[in-house]
Order: sequence, then C-alpha cells, then structure tokens
Amino acid sequence: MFRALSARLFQGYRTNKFPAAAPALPERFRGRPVIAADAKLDPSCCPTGALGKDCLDMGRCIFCGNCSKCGVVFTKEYRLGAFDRSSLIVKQGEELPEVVVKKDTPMAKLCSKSLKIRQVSAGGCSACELDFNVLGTLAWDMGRLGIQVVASPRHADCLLVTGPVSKNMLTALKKTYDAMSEPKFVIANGACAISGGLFAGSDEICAPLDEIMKVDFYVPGCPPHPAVLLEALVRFKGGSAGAI
Amino acid sequence: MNTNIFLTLENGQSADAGMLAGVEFNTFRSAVTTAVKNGCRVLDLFAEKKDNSNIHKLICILGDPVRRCFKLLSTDVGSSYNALTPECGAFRWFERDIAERTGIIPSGFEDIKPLRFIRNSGIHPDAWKREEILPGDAVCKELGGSSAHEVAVGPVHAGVIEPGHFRFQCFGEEVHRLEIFLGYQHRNIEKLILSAPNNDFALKLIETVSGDSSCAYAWCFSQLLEALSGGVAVPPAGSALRIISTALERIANNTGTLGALAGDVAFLPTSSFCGRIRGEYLNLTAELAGNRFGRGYIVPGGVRYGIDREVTKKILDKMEKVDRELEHALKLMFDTPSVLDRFENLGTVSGEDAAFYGITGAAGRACGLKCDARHDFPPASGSIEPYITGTANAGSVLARAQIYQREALSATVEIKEILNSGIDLNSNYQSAPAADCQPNRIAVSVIEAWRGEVMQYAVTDENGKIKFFRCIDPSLHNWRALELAMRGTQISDFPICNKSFNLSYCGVDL
Ligand code: SF4
Ligand code: SF4
Repeated sequence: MFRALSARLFQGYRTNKFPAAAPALPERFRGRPVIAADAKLDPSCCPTGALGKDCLDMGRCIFCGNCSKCGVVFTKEYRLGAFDRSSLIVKQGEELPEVVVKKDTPMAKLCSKSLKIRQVSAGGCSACELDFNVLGTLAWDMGRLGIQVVASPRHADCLLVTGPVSKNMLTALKKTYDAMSEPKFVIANGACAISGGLFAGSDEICAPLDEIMKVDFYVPGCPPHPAVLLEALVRFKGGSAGAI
Repeated sequence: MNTNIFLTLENGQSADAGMLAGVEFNTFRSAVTTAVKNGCRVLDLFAEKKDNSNIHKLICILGDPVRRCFKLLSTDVGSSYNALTPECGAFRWFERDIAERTGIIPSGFEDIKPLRFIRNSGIHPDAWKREEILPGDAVCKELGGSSAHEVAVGPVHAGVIEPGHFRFQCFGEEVHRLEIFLGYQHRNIEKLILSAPNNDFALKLIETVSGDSSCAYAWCFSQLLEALSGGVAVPPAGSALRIISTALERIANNTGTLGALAGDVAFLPTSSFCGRIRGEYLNLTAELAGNRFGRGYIVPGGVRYGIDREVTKKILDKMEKVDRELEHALKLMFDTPSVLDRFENLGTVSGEDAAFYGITGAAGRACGLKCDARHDFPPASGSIEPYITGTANAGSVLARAQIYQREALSATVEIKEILNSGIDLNSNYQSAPAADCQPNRIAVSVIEAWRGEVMQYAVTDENGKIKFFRCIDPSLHNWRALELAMRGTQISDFPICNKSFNLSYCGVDL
C-alpha cells in the first residue's frame, strides 16, 4: 500500500490538459492539408487515390506526406472529424474552414453527458485500435469526458468501426450492429473504414463502411492521432473542444 | 547428407533466381528436416504454382543461426506429398497455408485445418471439399463425457482488440485443448503488393501488415529492395536512425504489453503508468516520423528525415525522465508478490516444445531458445552490435514478462548510446534513391521486430518487377505456443496467457 502510494507520488499526475488547452502535437505532425491556389497537383504520387487534380479527399488519405512535393501543405489543424463524408474533401485554394460544431444532432441530445462505445475491428492493421485504446489511458482519460468503452453491443450508444471491413468480418460486424438497441450511431474511424484506405483495391474487403450501414461521423487518419480522435468524439456528442 | 544443395543467402543479399535448386522430393524432405533438427530455423514453406500445370514448386526457407545465413531449397509436388509437420512441428501453420491456398494435401498431417478461411482461393474443390467457406468454420475434435464442454470465443471480443476465434475443449474449468482460428483480418495484402504501381506504394502497404511493427516491416522491406537492386549502402546515420526507430517500437510495445498484463491481474498502478509511458515513446517516434507508428520513416537507402542537435537533445532529455519512470513502474510490479504469484508457472511452454514448433522471438527466448535475428542474421546495413538480452528458462507468463522488461530497458540504453555517440544524424541519412530492382533476382530479408523475426521474400520478373512475394509475421510461428500454453490452465487464465504473447492477428491474416 505504502509502495503503491509512493509510486503514485513519483509518477505524478499525468493526464494532459486537453480539451481545455490545445494538445501537444509533434513538430512533424501532419494535420489538415491545404492546397495553394497555384499548386500543380500530381495525383500519381498518391498511394490511395486521395489526391485529385484540384482536391484532396481526407477520407482516403493516409497522411503520408508524399504530396508535399507537389504543393500540398499539412497544417497543425487536428480537428479533422466530420459529420458528413463530403466535408472531408479539401478543395484547392480553400482556406482552413471553421470547425463544425452541432449541438442539436440526435447524438448530442442523447449522449452529450455519457457516450458508451462498442468498438469493432474489421480488417485493418490494428494501429487504429491501438490509438483508440490510448484514449483510455491516464494520459487522455476519456472517462473524464463521459466517454466509455463497453463490452456488450446492447449497452452501447455508438459503434466505432476500424478497418476496411474484410469479407471475413462482415457478418460479425453486422451482427454486432444488429445487437445494439435503437437509437444507435456509427463512427467510421480511420481511412480504412471511411474508404478502404490503402486496401481500397482489394477484392477481400467491403469498405466503404457507409455503404454497409449509416455512418454518423467520420474520423480521418491512418491512424487518427489520439488528439484527432478525442476531439472528434467530443464534437460527435455535441461539444466543442480545444483550439490550435 | 550433402548440405550444399541449398542456395545460401545472407540477410539482404540477392541471387540469380535460377540458382534456387530443385531437388527430388525425398532429398528435399530429408535435407530440410535434418537441417531443422540440427538447429536451423524454419522461416517459410510455401507452394508456387508452375505455369499451366498441376505441379507446384514447394520452397523452403531456413535460417542457419550458426553460419548466419539463409538456406533455400525447392522441389516439385503434385496433388499430395508426405507432410513435414509430423517430423518438424514448425511447419504446422505453413502446411495449413499450403493446403488452403493450393488444395494440395500434405499426407500424414492429421486434422489439418484451414489457416485464414480465404474465400476466393480459386481452388475447386478445396482441400476440405467445402461447399461454402465461412470464417472459423472447422470441425474441432471434441472431448467425450458429460463434464466435457466446448467454449467458443470471438471473433468480436469484449475489449478493443483485433478479431480472432478461439475454441476451448474444457473439462470443467480446465482447458484440455485450445484451437485458434484466424483470417478475420484478411485483406489480401500480398496481392495488393504485387499489383502496386511502384515500390513506394508497396512499402506503405507493408507498414500495415501489422501496424504495431511498422518500423520493423519497413526496414525489412527496404532491405529487401536494397538487395534486389544490387546492394545499396545505407549510410551510418540512416542505419542508426533505423535502429532507433525500431528500438522505440520495441519499448512502446513491450511497455504496452506489460501494462496490459498488469491490468489483467488487476495491478492497477503499473497498468496505468505503463499505459501513459507507452504513449511517451510513441510520441518520440512521432518526433522522428510525424506519425506515432513510424509510418513512412524507413525507406530504401536509409530513413526519410534526419534529426538535428536540438531534436536529439529533446529526445535525450525526455528519455532521461521517461526511462526512469518506466523502470520504476515495472520494478513496482515485479516486486509485488501477488503479481508474481499469478504469473509464475502459468501458461508454460517447455523448451522442447518451443524448439519443435519453432517458437520465435521474445516468446522463444522466454523458453530458453537462443533465437534473435539481431544476432543470428544481422541486418545488411550494418548495425551497432545488437543487444542480446538473455533467455529465461521457465517458458511461463512470468518468463515472457521478464524478457519484455529486460528488452525494453536495454533498448532504452541502446538508443541513448547512439544519440550520445556524437554521430551526425542530420546529414547523409539516406543514400541516393535506390535504383530499380534488377531482373530475375531472388532475396530474403529478416529483421527482428519486438515480437520476433519478420521475414520477407521476393522474386523479380524479367523487368525487375516483384512477381512473387512472401511476408511472415513472427506471430505465425507463435500462435501455436499459445495453444500449447493454455493446456491444463483454466479458461480464466486465458486473458493473461494471451496477453503474455500479445500476438498479431492481422500480421498472420495478411
Ligand atoms: S498525404 Fe494523402 S493525399 Fe497526399 S499523397 Fe499521401 S495519401 Fe495521398
Ligand atoms: S486506417 Fe491506417 S492505421 Fe487504421 S487500420 Fe487502416 S491501415 Fe491501419
């Protein structure tokens, strides 16, 4: 007991200040891209087909930075989550947009104080799950914001899906969704779930997720940084979080 | 026995594809099994269809830790052949793979099951004559008697974790036998890699085979490309930064594993400290790469970015503090008798079983095997003398936990030594972009990831494009160890045993 207490003293209080303050992001962090009006984009440098002639689809983007060579600039804007798929398209010449906060969605009305999430990993590389798990550690402690992971789909308000929905996971994913009681919401987390990401060309996957079930929120990234995901979850349930 | 029939390759070296000798099957079988019994590691066994025929080429890749090289041999097989598994358990999952992908039935391998439940393997009828292929759908040998029962778990588990299906044959609470069925994450990466328009895109795919080992995978693939393009010298700074990023990956994962183990035995202090500390190391990786998993960092010829003195100092200062916190958090757990009591003598795999089944990496070392690719097959780019962190003999959950602890702590020393060595890490970290791969070459590349060795094998066609590719995650060798470890334990021991291996599902599923 004494050892545990003194260990606690040594390790200190380590939960970060987010969302009250902006999260600490690495120097080389690649956040929301902007494309200068005069940039000459080269779609062939993009491994996922996210880059077009005059736009960039964050839903397909793995934020690899290849396109920095042809004029895409990655800002430190980490508030990437979006309520609809079309908001993930970055157009050439467009400035950083205002972050959308919605306080009147069904999710906000029901889950603003308490959001119970059932996560299903459906294909993918596991990094999305790992960085979602991070939100449960004391560094981020999403519990303090009323967000909790539950084991049973029956207890869940929301299904958070990662991965490109491999054919071998389709049934299990649908069954999990069906086991949730209404009203229920779905978050597509990561490029894989949103669009298939790097695996979009595979004949063994079923992504995009929103062709399988109704998706209420999109979180781009490969994987989304914990700050991106936590900010997204806060906004998903009607809040607004953090600043740059 | 003539041992020179093998094609011998060093790590990151290529040869003319025609040099891979084909021998008669019986010669193949005895050469390969004898070599394994004499201490070679099984790295891969697979079948490649010969054009327009019903004949397959069976290719075996072994690692010879004494001569520090790889040995390759091939033979032709028809619709069946005399299985290698009964003699060398290490071939077990590979022969399941062969049966599933080709329909060839290795005779004498009783009770062979599919590995990934791939739907469109294009084989009709398949080895099991299945009408419909459903994941996890295989018959398990059941126990008789009224107190025997079967428990099925997954694919969707209670926590935030990858999907897999576990079937326990139990006698009361006691687990008699466990069988593991994977394939839920199958996304056909090998095929995507072959169809990738260029090697850079293929590299991005490789990093997602098992997302927690991206650095090791990228290093392995870069080394493979360097070999296929005729040998590229990686400058010292590039080599050092590869070692640093892969060591950070090791620390982060080992820390996460130990924290999760603490959580599974409800020792909350270490569980919560480690959860946070793991993140600190991922953040250091992000300082190098811009991504917490090191995506895009290791590239052919070296690494993508260097680090200047300021960042070097920032990393050193951070590590000065976090390393102590890590050491402290782990010591707290390993000094707690109730935790040790739970870990000790649990989920034990004997040294003989580990050797027979070819268990590798940290889990193998915990059984007393001397297997560490950092030592046995040093990377071609040269490395600072690798740290061998010893082996523990018990093969239990505790032994594995101790290995993770030692290796995490020694990796922190390794990184700081490089950073303090005064080597300039901000220039000359990538040699000129690698030339295209040469035509008709064959190469094997192995890198020790935090779990064990990652192996990649490729053959190029007459235009220098990769036409055949194999990628083996250490987990493919080690899932068998979890099946064995569970025998005689209780079902309630499963989370701790499973976590103590912390194997990759997607790395096997591909
Ligand atoms: S950062 Fe995104 S858009 Fe740019 S090349 Fe990479 S995947 Fe394509
Ligand atoms: S989006 Fe990227 S990180 Fe997430 S599962 Fe897919 S490949 Fe992995």
